[in-house]
Amino acid sequence: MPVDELQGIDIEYRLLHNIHFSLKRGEVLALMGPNGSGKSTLARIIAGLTLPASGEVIPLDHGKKLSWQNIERWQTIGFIGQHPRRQTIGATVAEELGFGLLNQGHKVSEVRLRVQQLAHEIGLEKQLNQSPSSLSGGERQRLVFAAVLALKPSFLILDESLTMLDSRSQERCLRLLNTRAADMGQIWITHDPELAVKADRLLIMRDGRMQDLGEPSGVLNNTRVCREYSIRSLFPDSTFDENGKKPDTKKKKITQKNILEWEKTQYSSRLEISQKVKAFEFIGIVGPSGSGKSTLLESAAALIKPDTGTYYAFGQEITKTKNDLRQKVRLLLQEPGEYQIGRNAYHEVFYLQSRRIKKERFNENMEYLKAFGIPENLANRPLENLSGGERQKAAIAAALESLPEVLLLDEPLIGLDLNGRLYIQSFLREMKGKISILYVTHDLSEITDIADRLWLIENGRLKLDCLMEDWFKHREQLQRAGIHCPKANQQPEQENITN
Amino acid sequence: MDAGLYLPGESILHKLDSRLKTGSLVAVSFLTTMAHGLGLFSLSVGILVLFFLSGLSFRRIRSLFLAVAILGLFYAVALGWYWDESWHFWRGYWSTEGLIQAGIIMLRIGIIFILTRLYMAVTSPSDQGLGIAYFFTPLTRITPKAADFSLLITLTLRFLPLLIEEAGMLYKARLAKGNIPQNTGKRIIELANLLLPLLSITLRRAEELADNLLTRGYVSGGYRVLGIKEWEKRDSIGTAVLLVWLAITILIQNVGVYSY
Repeated sequence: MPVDELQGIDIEYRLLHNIHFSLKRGEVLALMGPNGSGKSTLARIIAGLTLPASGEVIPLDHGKKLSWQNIERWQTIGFIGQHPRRQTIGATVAEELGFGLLNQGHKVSEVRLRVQQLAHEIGLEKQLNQSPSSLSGGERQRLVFAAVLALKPSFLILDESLTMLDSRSQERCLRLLNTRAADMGQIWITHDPELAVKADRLLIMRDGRMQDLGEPSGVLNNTRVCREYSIRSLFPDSTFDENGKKPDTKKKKITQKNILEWEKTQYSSRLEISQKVKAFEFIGIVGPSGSGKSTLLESAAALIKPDTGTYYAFGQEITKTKNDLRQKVRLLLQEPGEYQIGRNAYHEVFYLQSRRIKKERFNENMEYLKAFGIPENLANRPLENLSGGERQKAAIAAALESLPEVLLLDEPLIGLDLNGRLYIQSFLREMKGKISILYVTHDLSEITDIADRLWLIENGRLKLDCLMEDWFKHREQLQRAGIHCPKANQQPEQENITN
Repeated sequence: MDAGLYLPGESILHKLDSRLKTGSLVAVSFLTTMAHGLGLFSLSVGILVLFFLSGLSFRRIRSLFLAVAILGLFYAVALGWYWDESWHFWRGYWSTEGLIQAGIIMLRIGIIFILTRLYMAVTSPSDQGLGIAYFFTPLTRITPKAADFSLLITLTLRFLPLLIEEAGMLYKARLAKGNIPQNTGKRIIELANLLLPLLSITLRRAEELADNLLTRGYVSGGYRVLGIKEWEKRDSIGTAVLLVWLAITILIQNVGVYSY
C-alpha cells in the first residue's frame, strides 16, 4: 500500500514531549540538536523499533489515514545507523544485499540477478563472495545503503550514518541516495551543518522538544542562532570562542627535543613510518578511512609493537618488557563512549582514584565534570542510561583527567554537540604548548587554527608533512584524499556574532 | 571480523566450496566413530594429506596433541589397567587388548580434533555459517525452526569474532587509563572488572543486530541461504576424491587383525 506522508502526532516517550512532525515523500529533513536531546530515540520510534508511551506515527496516502496493520513498516521506512561495522547482517556481500529482498518474498533466482546489479552499481561486483568485514568502512556503509535502498523504502532515516566517513565516501553514499531522492522522504540525524544545509527543512531537538526552523541555510549561516540551539554553524567552531572573540592562536614555543620517534618502523601491513614528534608540538593527522591513522596513535601509545624498526619515546626504546608510557601518554580511542569500564560517569572518569581519594575529592571532581557538561545527576547515572554524546564527554574527561605529557586523540569531536566541541577545543587551545598533542581527524577545519604541523597518511604511509599554515598549498592533494577542507573565506558575518 | 581460528591462505583447501568442506567434516567425523582396523589407517593417512595440503604449520595443532595425549592417558588407565574384583587396584596388570582399545579411541579423538581444527583454519566463519545453513535448508520443510536455528548458527559464527574484536578494544581502553598492576591478584581483579562492561557491549551489539534484522524484515522461519559462489570444477573433483576416500575406508576396514 503506498504511503506518501508520515505524521508524528503528540509523541511522548521518556524525555520526548509533545512531538509533532510531518514528512512527505521527496522531502529531506535534517534533525539536529544537543547530545541527549532525544534524536535517536525519536528515530527509533518512527522506524517502529520503539513503542512511544503515547501518541503515534501515522502513515498517510493523499491525506487519508492508513493503518500499520496493513503495511509492512520495515518496507516503508528504512533505517541506517552510524557505525559501518555494526550495520551488516550477511555472511557475504551478496547475502547482505539479498537478505532484505529474500524477506520481501522474491525468488532466489531473481534476487541473485538483482544482487549482481546492485553490486555492480556500488562497485563491489568482485567482492560478492567476500565477507563484509573485509571491506573498508566507506565500502561497508555503501553496501548497507545499497541493501536498504534495494528494498525501495518510501522513507529513510539516517542516524548519523555519514558521520564516520571521509568526504569521498560521504559523497558516494549521497550519490546513492540521490538516485532515490525524488520519491523517498528522508530524515538525516546529524551534527554536521554541511550535511544539514542540503536538507529541505531543519528540525531542532532540545530537551526532548522539537522545533521546525524551516529552510536550513538561514539558520546554519547564523552563528548566534546556532549557539542558542547548541548546534554547529557552517563556520568552523574554533574560529570564534564562546564570547564571539577570536581565540589566541599565537605560536607557542616548540623545543627541538624529540619525545616520540619512529625509526623505520613497520606495523604489519597497516603502517610504515619514520617520523619524529617534538616536545609541545601539536600535530594534526588526516587521511581517508582505513589509511592507518588510528594504528599510528596506537603505536604511539605502545599498544602495538613494530614488526620491524624501533620506536622511541622520551629517548628510550620501547620494548615489550620495557614500557612505562601509560602515565605519560594518554590515548583517547575512536568512539570512546562505546568502550567504558566504569559503573557511571564519575567512576569512569576517576577510575584510577582509590575509594578514599574519590570521597575526599568529591566536590573538586564534580567541578571538573561540570566543566565537561556532566552535572551531578548525570555523573551518578549508569553509563548505559546516558546518550552516546554524554558517554563521549565522560570518556574525554577521563582521558584528560591526569594531565599527560603526550595526548593522543582519535576523532575526539565525532558525535559531540556544539557545546561539547567548544569545550574540547578551548581546552586544547589552553593545553597547546604545555603538552604534545597528536590529533587524528578527517575534518581539517577542526585543526587549521591550532595545529603546528599537518601529516597526511594514505595507504599506511606518510604522504605529506607540512606546517599547518601551509595546508592550503596542498588543498588539492588533501581533497583528493577525501579530507574535508575549509572553504576559502569561511568567516561568519560580523552581525551574526554581535546580534 | 573473520578472525579467531581462521587462518587466511591460498591453499586448495581454502579455495574449496564451504558446502563441500562442511559436508566432508560431517561425513568423515561420522565415519571415524565407526571405522576400525585399516579403515582408521586410511582416515589417518587422509588427514595427514589434508594437513599438508592446508599449508598449516605444525605449531598450530601442537596444543591438540597435548589434549589428545591427556585423554589417551585417561583411556589407557581406564581400559588398559586390569584387576580382578577380589584384588586391590594396585595389584592389577596392563592388558594388551585394553591398551590397544585405548589407543584406537585416542586415534579417533585425534582425527576428529585435527579435522575440526583444519576445517576452522581453512574456512572463514562466514563461510562456515553458509555451509552449515545449506545443510539445514531441507529441514525447513519439516519445521520453520530449522531456518531460525541455521540463522542462529550463522549469526553466532559471525558475532563471536566481532566480540573478540570488541574485547580487544575494551582492553585497549583499560590500558589507555594506565598500566594494569603486575601483582597477580590485582591483575585478576582488574581483568574481572572488564567482564561486566564486556557483557554490556555484548548486549548492545546483540540489540543492534536484532534491530538490523527487524529493519530488513526478518520473520521467524524466513531465513534462506543466498549462495552466489558458483560450484567449480575443483569442487566436483574434491567431492569425487572424498567419495573415493570414504569408499576405500569402508571397504578395507574389515581387512586386518584387530577389529573393535
